[in-house]
Amino acid sequence: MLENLASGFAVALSPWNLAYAGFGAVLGTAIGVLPGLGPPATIAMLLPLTYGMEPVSAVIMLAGIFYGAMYGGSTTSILLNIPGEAGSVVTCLDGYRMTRSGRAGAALGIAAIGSFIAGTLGVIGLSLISPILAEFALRFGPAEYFSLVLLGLTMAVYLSGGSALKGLMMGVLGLLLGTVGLDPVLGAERFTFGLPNLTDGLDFVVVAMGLFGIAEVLSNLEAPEQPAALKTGIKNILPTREDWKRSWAPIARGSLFGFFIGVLPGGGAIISSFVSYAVEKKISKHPEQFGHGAIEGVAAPESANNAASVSSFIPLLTLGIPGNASIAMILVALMIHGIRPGPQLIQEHPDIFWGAIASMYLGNFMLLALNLPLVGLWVKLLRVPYSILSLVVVVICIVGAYSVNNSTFDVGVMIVFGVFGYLLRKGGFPAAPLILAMILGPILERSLQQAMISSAGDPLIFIEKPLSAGLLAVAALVALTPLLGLVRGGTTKPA
Amino acid sequence: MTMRSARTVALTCALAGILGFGAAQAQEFPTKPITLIIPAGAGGSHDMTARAVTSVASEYLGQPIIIQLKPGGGGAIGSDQVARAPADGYTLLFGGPNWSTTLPAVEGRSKGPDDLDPICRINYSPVMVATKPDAPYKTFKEMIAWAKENPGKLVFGNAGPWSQADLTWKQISQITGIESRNVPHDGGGPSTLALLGGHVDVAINPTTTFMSYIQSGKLRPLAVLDDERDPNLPDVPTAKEEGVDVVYYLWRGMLAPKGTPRPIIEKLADACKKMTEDKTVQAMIKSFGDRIQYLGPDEFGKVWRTEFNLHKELGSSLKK
Repeated sequence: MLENLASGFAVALSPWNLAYAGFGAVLGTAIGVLPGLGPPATIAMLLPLTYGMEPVSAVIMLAGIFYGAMYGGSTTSILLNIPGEAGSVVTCLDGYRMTRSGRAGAALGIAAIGSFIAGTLGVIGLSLISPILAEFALRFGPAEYFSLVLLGLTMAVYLSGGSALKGLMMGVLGLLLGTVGLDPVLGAERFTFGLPNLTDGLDFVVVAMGLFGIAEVLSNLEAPEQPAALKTGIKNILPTREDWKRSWAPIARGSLFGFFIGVLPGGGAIISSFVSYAVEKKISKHPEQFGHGAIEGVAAPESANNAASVSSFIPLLTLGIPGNASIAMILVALMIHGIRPGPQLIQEHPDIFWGAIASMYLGNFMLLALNLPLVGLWVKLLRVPYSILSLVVVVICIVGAYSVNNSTFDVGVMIVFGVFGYLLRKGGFPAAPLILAMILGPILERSLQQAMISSAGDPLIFIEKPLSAGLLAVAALVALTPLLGLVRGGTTKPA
Repeated sequence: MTMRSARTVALTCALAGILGFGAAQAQEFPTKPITLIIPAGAGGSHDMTARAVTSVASEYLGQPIIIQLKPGGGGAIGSDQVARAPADGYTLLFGGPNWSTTLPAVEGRSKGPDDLDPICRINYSPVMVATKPDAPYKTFKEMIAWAKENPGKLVFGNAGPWSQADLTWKQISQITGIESRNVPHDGGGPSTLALLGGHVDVAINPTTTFMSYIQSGKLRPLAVLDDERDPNLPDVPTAKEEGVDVVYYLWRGMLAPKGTPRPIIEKLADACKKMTEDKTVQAMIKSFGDRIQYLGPDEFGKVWRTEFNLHKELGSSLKK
């Protein structure tokens, strides 16, 4: 194994491949910072460039774009409350609150360092236990998916700051919004009002940009002066010793969650970021700080989404199956060179497998070196008067919403949800459970339908499979603990 | 030349073409880059094929072909946009059976041969039926027999409602009278994963999707749903040979708005033919596991129309 890794480093350390990894990392950071235009579209645009490259160089560059975007994705979440990528939605919750209390530097710093640690741990995991994890991903059938997603949903209540009832209402609304589009079994249209733009459902990145970014601008309009905290935003460029003490364990746990959940195709990175956030809040000694600028709330999900971006390469490299759209584009790049990733990739093209892995070790170092100095620059951005900054936010959101599907309809959707998000804030309704339920709802429905059809309608399938039964048991515990507290103590703090 | 005057020229060309004076102007066509809309997301087999073929467009057409992705509505949004575009040959659609045949024939959404003109077919991927090597049936016939002995027990994994897998499986079930559990998946990747993981017993996908698993012994091929056997898998029979006449072409081709002047169609079809004969293009298509199977506007138009009528019939008989 070490021999293989050494030969991988020999490939990755060649000057050209180093340059490609660096270029991919820089470009990835840039597109991660800009909301909307995501890694799949960028990789698609750059694909023709790779025709003339060595296949391993192509993978090194395109992979750099993908995991680089995960680093950059947190920036706008923290600074402007605009989720840059799907995996950074949950980072908005505490990251932006930290900015508002003048601690943007610490938030950005911990996001970059957490990403580095998680990314590196992820690559170590990737080089050690890829084949085992691939088997694990294969064993994950519809019943297991259903139980995992149900567990994720029961955690949604921990995402809401105030009233559990309001959080629950938002979760149900999110589930409803998630049913817009084609039914997964029959392909019948639901809640589309005959609009072709709605047949694929609402894009949750667009909805999140409205609910977080636009709604934030609208509520800031009420206070015409510069928010006081933003003026002091240049203090504490780097995390303090106290920040470290609080963050190292969430980073480690986030890396673990991200790595194992990220291996599952279809939304692994997003689910892991929500799950790691909810777990931190659940086990924290001061859960009341979450949603008001707790650094753990940035460290855990940012670590999770980076570890997940690394482990999502496992199904591609070991089974030849892409787990998300970005990885699918990397598959295309390889196929253009006549290489079909699959079970034989490690034997037939060890240079590609190990070269790509070695380049990820190096790429993570490059990203850390690139992102830490950028923190100071980003924080300076906050000195811009809010009257101007708010316009920038609106423009970024509009361009971002358009570029997700090249659709002006999505811009309209974002504006509608921006106004809606503003009204929700006025009523004290949290937006995060809505987004989580909207993301998880369709996966929950599909896996439920798949499991029930394959068992011919027998619900015992969820208990007969040990992995599924275990996840369901945890979900039941999570759902019942607040109730138990009620019974025992008579009072319980709102979750 | 400014954009505005280029557009004027183009419009004049289109008008002249309709009036029958197209030949001379068609010689000048194209005077600006052509937009090819792919109504699907990045990285699918259509995207890959389109990028490979159009990479040499300027050599054979004198102008580049610019690819624009317009995903949404299972292909309906991009298809509708092209159907509404001026019929001047500058806005084309990358067609495929899902959004250009099945969706309009079965669901009445997207656009089919009534609203678009065929330019050419570039190629098609044969689809095949595969199972796990430890399955109790070793051939297509045995699978059918097993399904008949165990009604409602066989678990089939499709790639989405009315996908190639769903449609052909329903056809097979209709012809043979077997009953099974038809589990929907969000595309061919997930259904392959479900088959490998043993969550479904049988799946249908393009041969290219299954090939590496067949070669590594993780999947067993049962039958190819094509007119003839796949040259890469000479031992695998077609479903037709096994007594079940189901054929499906997962084709890729160029389509134009209805009423595009014939000389322009011919010029585009001719350039396309040359592009598909280009050595670098052929090498790229081969690396995807596909072959070029070019068909000109008339032959392709016939194949497409037949397919449309078949799916329409199937849609009304299979929809409950």
